[in-house]
Amino acid sequence: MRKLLIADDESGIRSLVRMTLEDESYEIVEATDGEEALNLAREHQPDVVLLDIMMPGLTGFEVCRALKEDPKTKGMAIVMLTAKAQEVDEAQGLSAGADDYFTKPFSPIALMRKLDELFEARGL
Amino acid sequence: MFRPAPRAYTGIAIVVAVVFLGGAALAWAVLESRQAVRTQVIEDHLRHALVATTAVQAEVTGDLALLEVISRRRLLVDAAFEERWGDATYHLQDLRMVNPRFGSAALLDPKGTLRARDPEDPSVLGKDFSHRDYYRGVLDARRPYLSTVFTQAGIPRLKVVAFAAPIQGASGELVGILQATLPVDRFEFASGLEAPESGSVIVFDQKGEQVTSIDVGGDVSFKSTSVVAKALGGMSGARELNLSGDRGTRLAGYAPVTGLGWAVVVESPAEVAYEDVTALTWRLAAVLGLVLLGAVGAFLAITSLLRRHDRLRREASAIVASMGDAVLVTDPDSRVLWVNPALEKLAGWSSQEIRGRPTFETFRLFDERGDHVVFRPSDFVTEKGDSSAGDAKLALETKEGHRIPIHTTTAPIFDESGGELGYVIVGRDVSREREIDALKSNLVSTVSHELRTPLTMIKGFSELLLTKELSQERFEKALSEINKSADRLSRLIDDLLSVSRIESGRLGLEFMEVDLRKVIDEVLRPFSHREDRTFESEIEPLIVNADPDKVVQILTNLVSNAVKYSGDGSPIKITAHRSGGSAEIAVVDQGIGMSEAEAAIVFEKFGRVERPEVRQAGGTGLGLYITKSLVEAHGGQVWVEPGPDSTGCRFAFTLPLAEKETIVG
Repeated sequence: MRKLLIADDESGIRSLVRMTLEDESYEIVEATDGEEALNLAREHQPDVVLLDIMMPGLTGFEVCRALKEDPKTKGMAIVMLTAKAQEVDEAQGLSAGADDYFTKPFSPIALMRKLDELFEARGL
Repeated sequence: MFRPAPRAYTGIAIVVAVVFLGGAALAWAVLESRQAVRTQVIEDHLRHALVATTAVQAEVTGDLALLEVISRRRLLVDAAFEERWGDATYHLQDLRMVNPRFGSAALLDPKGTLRARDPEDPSVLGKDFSHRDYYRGVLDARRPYLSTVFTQAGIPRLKVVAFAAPIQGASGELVGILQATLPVDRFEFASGLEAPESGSVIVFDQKGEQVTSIDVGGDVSFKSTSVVAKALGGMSGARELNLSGDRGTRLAGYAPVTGLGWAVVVESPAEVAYEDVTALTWRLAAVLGLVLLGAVGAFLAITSLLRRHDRLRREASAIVASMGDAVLVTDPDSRVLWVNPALEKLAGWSSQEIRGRPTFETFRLFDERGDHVVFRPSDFVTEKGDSSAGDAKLALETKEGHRIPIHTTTAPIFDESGGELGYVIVGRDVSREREIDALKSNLVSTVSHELRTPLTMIKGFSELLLTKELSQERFEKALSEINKSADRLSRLIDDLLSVSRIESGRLGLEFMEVDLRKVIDEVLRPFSHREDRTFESEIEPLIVNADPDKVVQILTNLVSNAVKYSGDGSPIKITAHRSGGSAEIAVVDQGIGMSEAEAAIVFEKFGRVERPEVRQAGGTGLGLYITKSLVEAHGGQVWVEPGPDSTGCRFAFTLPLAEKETIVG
C-alpha cells in the first residue's frame, strides 16, 4: 500500500483525491490545514504529500519547507497542489523543496500517472 | 498664503510722492522764473527812465551852455549895460543860427521888460515878462535856467520851454536876461528814445507839468501821480501803479533829470510789460501740466499693472489653494517659500512653521523599503528643465510621523534669462490608489482562487465519472459535488455582480412598504426546511420603507452566515423591534463568534477572518460587504456585536420605518 497525505482546506478537493486514488491501493490521510498536515505527516510517515498552498495558518510552502528540513520527513515526495497558477508560484514551490507542482483545476488521471512516475522513480 | 506685496504699495507711494514733489518743484520753478522775469521787466523800465533822463539832460545842458556862452559875449554885455538894445539883435540872430530849433530868442532888461527879439515882433516889445518862470529863475539863481512849460505869448497852444541866462556887468550886477524858447516838440532827444511797447516816455517839468512825451499809448496822463512826485523829489525807481478809469495797471520807471528839476517817467501797460512773463508762465505751466499728466499716466499704468499683477497672483493663489493636490514652492536652494492648504493638511505643517526651512528637512521622504530619501527638487528635474514625475514609490512623513504614499511632479521656475527662481513641487496623496491597487490584486487573486476551487471539483469529478467505473454511492457523491460547485460558482458571480452594481451606484432600489414579519418568514422558510436546527423569532409588527428584494438579500446573507458559522446546529434567533424612527433587526447565533479585531474587518470587501473554520465554510468575503452596502443604501446602519466568551455574535441592522409604521395585531 502506498501511503498518501492530502492537505487542503477544501473538503471537495480532499474527496476528489480520495475518490481518484482509493481503488489504486493507496492509504489516504486527510489534513484540513498546515498545522494538521505537519502533525499527520510526522505521525503517519506517508510516502507522498499533496499540499495545497493557500491554507489557513501555515501555508503549503511553509509546510513543505518544514518537512524537508526534518530528517524524519525529508524523504517524503511532495507535490504542491494549488490554485495559484503563476509561474513565480511554481518556482517558489520548487525552491521550497517540492518534487512536483500541480495547478487547479487538474486532471485526476494525470495526477494518478504523475504519482505512479514518482513512485517508480523512487523504486517503490 | 499670498499677501499683496508690500513692495506694490511702496511703489504706489513713491509714484504719488514723485508726482507731488515734481509738481511742487515745477510750480516753484514757474513762480520763481515769473518773479525773476517780472523783476527784470521792472528794472528795464527804471533803466529805460535813467537813459531817458541822460538824453534829456545832455540836450538841455548843451542848450543852456550855448545860452551861457552867448550871454557872456563882451559886446552883448556892453550893449545891455548901456541899454543899447538894438545892438543885441545880432546876438539873438546868432543864437538862433547856432540852434535853429529855438522858436525865438529875446533880450529882457533886469526888470523883465522885453527889449529885443528875434524874429522881430513889435507887439511884444516893451512888454513886461517878469511874471515868467524863467525870469524868476534867473533872478534867483543868477545862472542859466530852464523854465517850466508855458504857452508862448501870441501863439495859442504852442507849448514851449524857455532857456534863460543872466547877462552880468563887470561887477556882477544883472544888466539883462538872454532868453530862447523851444517848442516842446522840437526836443531832439525824442528821436533817440524809444518808448516801451504800448507805453510812453514822458518828461515832466519842475511843477509836474508834462513837457513832452514819446509814443503815448492812449490818453494816459501821469500828471500828479506818486511816481512823478517821487522823481521830482529826486528819487528814482520803478513800480506798478493802478490808475483810475480805463488806464488800468501801468508799470512805471521814474528818475529825476539831475540839475534841472525835471523828471522822466517810462511807462507801459502792466499786461503788455508782463507779456513775456505771462507767456513764460503759460509755457512753464504747460510743461508742468505735461509732466504731471505723464506722471499721472505713469501712475495709472503702474497701478493698472500692479492691479493686473495682483489679480494674477490672486488667481494663481485661488487656483493653488483650491487644488486638491499638495503644492510646494521652493527657492533655488530648496528652501520652502510657501505651501498650499492641501499640503498643510496632508503633512500637518502650517506655512508659517516651515517657511524658509530646507525642504528635505521638513518633508522627509521614504522609499518602498522604508529608507530615508534626501529630497532635493533639482534631482527630480532633467537638465532641459522639463518637469518630471518621480517614478519612485515615495512616502511622505507627516508632522505626526505617519507615512503617506505620494506621487510627486517637480518643475523648475525660470526667469526670462533662464536663471532658476525655484521649484514647484506638486504632490498627490496616492493612498487611495495604492489601496485600490492592493484591493484589485486581492480581488484577482481571491476571485481566481474562488473560481479555481469549484472548477477543479467540476473538472475532477466529471473526469472520474467519465473514466472510472464508480459505485452508486460514489457516483452520487461525485454528482453532488459537481452540483454544489456549480452553485458556488453561481453565487460567486451573483456576489461579483452585486458588488459591481453597488460600486457603480446602480442598485436601483424600489422603495415600498414592507411588512417585516412576512419578509423574515419568507427568508427563514427554506433554511428551516433544509437545516436541522431551531429558528426562534421575536418580531414586533413593523412596516419599513425598503426594497423588499434587497431586504430578503440582506437577511438571507446574515442568516446563511449564522448557519455557516454555527455548525453544531445551535439555535439561531431573529429579532425585530422599534428603535427611534427605525426598525432594528438582528440575527443572533451561538456559533464560532469573533474577536473585536475580526469584527472590525468583516464588513470590508474581501474582509475575511483567517480562521480554519471560516476557511472551511468557504465564501468570497463579499457577502457582508454587500449586506452593509445594501443597508446603507436604505439609509440604515449595520454592525456586529461579538457574543461573550467568544461564542456567537449578533449582527444587527436598521431600516427606516414607513409612515404607517405598525400593523395592529
